[in-house]
Amino acid sequence: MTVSAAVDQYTVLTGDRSKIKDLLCSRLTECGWRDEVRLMCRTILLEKGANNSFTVEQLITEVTPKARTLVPDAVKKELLMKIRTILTENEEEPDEPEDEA
Amino acid sequence: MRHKRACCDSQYFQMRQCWLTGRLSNRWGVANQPVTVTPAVRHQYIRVRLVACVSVCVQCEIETRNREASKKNHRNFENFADCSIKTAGRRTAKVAKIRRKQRNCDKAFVPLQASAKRAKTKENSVDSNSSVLSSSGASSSSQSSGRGTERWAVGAETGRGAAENETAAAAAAAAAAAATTATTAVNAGRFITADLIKTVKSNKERKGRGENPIDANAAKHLRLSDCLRTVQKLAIELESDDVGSDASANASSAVMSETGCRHYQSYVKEHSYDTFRVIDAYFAACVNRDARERKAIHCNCFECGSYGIQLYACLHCIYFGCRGAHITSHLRSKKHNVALELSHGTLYCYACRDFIYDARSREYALINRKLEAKDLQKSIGWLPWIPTAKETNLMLANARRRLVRPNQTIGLRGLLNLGATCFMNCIVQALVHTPLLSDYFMSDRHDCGSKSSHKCLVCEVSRLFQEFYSGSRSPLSLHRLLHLIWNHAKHLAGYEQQDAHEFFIATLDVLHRHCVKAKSEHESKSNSSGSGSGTNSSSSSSSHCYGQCNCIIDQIFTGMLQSDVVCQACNGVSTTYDPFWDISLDLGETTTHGGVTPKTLIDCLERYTRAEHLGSAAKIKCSTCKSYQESTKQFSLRTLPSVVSFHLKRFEHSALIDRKISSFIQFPVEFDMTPFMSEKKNAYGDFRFSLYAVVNHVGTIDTGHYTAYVRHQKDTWVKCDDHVITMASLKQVLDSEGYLLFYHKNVLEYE
Repeated sequence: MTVSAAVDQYTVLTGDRSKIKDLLCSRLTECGWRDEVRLMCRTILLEKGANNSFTVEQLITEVTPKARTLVPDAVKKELLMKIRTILTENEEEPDEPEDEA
Repeated sequence: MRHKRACCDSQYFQMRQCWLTGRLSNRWGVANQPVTVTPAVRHQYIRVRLVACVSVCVQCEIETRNREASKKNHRNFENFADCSIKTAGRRTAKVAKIRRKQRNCDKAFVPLQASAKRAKTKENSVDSNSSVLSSSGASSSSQSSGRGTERWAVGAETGRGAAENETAAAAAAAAAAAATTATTAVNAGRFITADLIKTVKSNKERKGRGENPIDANAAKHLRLSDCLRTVQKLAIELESDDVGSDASANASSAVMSETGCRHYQSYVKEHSYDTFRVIDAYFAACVNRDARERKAIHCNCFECGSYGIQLYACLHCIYFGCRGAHITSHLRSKKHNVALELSHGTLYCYACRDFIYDARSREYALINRKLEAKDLQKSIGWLPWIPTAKETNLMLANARRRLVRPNQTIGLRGLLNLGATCFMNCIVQALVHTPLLSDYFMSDRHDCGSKSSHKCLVCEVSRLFQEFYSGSRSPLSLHRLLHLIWNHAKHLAGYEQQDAHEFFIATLDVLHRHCVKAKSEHESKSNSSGSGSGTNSSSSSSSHCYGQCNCIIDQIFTGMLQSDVVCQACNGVSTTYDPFWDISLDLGETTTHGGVTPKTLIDCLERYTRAEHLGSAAKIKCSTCKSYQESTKQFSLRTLPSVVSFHLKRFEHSALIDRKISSFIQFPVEFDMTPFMSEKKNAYGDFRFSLYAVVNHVGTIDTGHYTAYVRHQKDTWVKCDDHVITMASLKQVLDSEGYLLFYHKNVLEYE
């Protein structure tokens, strides 16, 4: 098992995954990212979705790269910090997942 | 942990309306600490106060009417949508029962192929040993199912007879596998190491080893029906916890007419909501520990094995796949239509190539989200606001909407001078323009339990906010507020001019007391009606740190002052903490440092936090050397409130003379408080503050007049002189004398 899979499993198990997800969602909402992306989707749909043939997949492929770049660095950094803290806390326990993975 | 980290100054006041009110309990890692589940971020672009129906969009001017406003999720989240869940829950429980029966009959002949395809090996405790959601082996696709796929075998028990042998074999395999690994259930680290048996092949390998043959019967297979029962049970528990909340939210189903697509409808007709409900409860929002274990073990892409962020679960059979090719190829090849996106719990229809929205499913999903939040002791995640019928009707009845543009005057109102009440007027102006406070009141979060709301100052302030934002331009009379203050702060009663600072502190005090009172009344009420929830919240409030309750005043205004007294003999430090609402700064000449008079606010603060020699006359008993010693005393700021108010002590009352110090004190628009913190180095966070209100006093110590400058919008300052409101420039503000200075934190933090 790879380390990342172990981390995935661990965070899912402890419920941290869901907390991290919530944190990310709220950060993105707070910083206006959500609205920016929303607006972006709107404009794209207004441009191209006129004849009703524009699918959600197309929208996703178009929006994803732009949306990714819009995520503020501060948010990324904070999430990283958060994940790191969670994992280091876990490290202190006798069975460190990464070692045995 | 920050709130609004990226909300830089340029957006600061623009976005102030969507500020979070109150601290979010988003505490991490303190699992054993009782946490009240408070609503998560109120995303309040449009805020609808239903009485006056003011909707304010400050963030942008686009799409004002139908933009998602935040749910008015004040109070506890239990209050939300309780009724619909209650009724829906009961109804569906019944329906589900019947359906289950039917299905059991229908599928009685479907052999159960619980070959433990993806047996997990976490623990061999009795409750959740080697459980797969009743996965049936693909190998033995039977004539009756005919699709050659695994199915979520809802009526699995009935098929047990037919598949007795296979079940037993699988169970044995799983149990053996389980025995090979660690037995402690709690240790998460160990759990990770527990090997996963994903395929039949690896399962067989394990079995081959046969290290520890365990009675096959010990391995209990959890089936979809069991899971469903768990989910239903939890949902009913949740519902019973919600007793005593108001019944306004009944109509979410009536308002929402979303029924998914026709594919989903036919899917539901065939399979009912049970599968969706269980998959959502176990893999999208894990409702309990068991569900999290299952998710951790089984929920990865069947193609690439990744635990990717966007996994889809096929609702027709057991299949997880990454977004994109993995899931779509499965759906295409198996001709399955409906899949569930697991990170947000959205339904996807392959036939429509689109996400679909179904009201009933959403209700179930909401229950699951609540269960998850409850189980993890976290706040419920952000949810889009769906107005209830009551809210919709109120909005329809009050069709007038307000849009706040940069140059609009909404929120500004002159205040009549009721005879030397300018001290009150300017404080009220400052309070009304406090972003966090206006957030609190505009979202109608004060809930006065008592019937005597006319006696409650918080209710009065709440009403004032309505008046300020009503759009009326005529000046307002504050006689009710004044009367309330007179009643509750006797020393301010009377017709003479009072000190604005004193009034400010008294107002905060009364507001604080009334908040506490309203809360306790609320709690006693909920205690008498419902049993569980009340005790929980009271214990959480008592666990709160010393000197601070959770009321809005304390959340916004209360900081913690640290004073260190250092013994000169032994260097022993005794530290005390005191809560503060404002910082009073001396302006007179310093006695110790060569008679320097402070010229700026920063000077004053430096002086305030400087170590002060207490002198030989004031010896203090040192706790370490147990003797009276000379010592130094130093103040520092342990925690900062969201709003720091500075009181410049311009009125000097000494034995000899009472005088007003009118010297000019320069104060900045924005500054960083980090240097004055107790732990400068370790302080994590952003301690930048912005000026938003200045109260000035003109005149002498005996007679004079108070005016206030308030920041109306970003870069828009107004001068409030009783009933006259005029535009002001920043320069005017900064050149003013300054008596009370109000600073607002730029970046809010989570608790």
